[in-house]
Amino acid sequence: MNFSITKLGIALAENTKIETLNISNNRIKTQPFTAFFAAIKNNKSLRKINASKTDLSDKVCEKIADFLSMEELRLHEFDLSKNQITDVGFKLIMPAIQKNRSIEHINFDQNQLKASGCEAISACLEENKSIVELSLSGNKINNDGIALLGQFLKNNETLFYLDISKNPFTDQGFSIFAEHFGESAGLVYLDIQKTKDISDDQSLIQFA
Amino acid sequence: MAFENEMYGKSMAIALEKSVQLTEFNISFIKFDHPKSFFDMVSPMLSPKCRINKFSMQACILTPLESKVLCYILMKNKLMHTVDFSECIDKERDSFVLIFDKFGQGSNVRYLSL
Repeated sequence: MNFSITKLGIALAENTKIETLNISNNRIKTQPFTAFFAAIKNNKSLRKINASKTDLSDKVCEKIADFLSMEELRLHEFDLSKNQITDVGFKLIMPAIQKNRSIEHINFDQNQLKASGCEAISACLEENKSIVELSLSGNKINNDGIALLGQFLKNNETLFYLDISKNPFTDQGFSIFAEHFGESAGLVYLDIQKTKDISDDQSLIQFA
Repeated sequence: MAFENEMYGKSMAIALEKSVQLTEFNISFIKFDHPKSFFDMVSPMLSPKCRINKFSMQACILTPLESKVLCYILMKNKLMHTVDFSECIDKERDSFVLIFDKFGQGSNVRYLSL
């Protein structure tokens, strides 16, 4: 990284023009990153933030949650893919997203999401009415995780795109998810490609 | 590509001044050996006739001189809505600060990549 993320945050705090910010592919340290999200808390112009591959860890998630909790937030798209967010971070971020009314697209690809993080996501999406696209590809969602994740589907009518591809769940977990999928009202796109052991046996028959 | 001689910047500037239909300008990965080449090349973006609204200079070297020139462009060129400074090398560690300040002072940039 060749710029000060803290000073960028200060510059963006009062900025009313910049709508899209791409800071991807920068190795950003925890403390300045925390300061950045604290600084942009009052920004009302940002619509899209790409913070993919920025070494973002759970320690920054508390400030991200504060940022996402702002009532006047106008953010539509948030890319946090290719980072080190674990279930601890997801449990901090998801309650903030649950109440948020602006975010429509969120990308958590290639993080460290497991079962308890999936529970937090499911609880969030049961109430959230704005997210239309959620990507969880390349995480560590196992059978318990995928089963928990499916629980929100019957109560959510907004989400139409869900990518859970490249995760290590198997037929056993997917069959439980498939039961919930049948009750889904809004989902029109589901990506399960290259998962560990989804074959054309019982779970896919049930899914069909 | 290395613009090592001042004349290359000027020849590009003449071309840019003539092509009023140009809306995107990408000088990524160019190394400006001569300090004045950068200024000469981008100076047409200060002209009211300039229609460039997307400017990319990925992986270029930023010194305070380049930063000041860019600040001036960001203030003057009100059509500029997209700038890409990703992978730029800030030799003085202060060059970006000058640019960041301009985003809140008259610049119309809406899409920023770093």
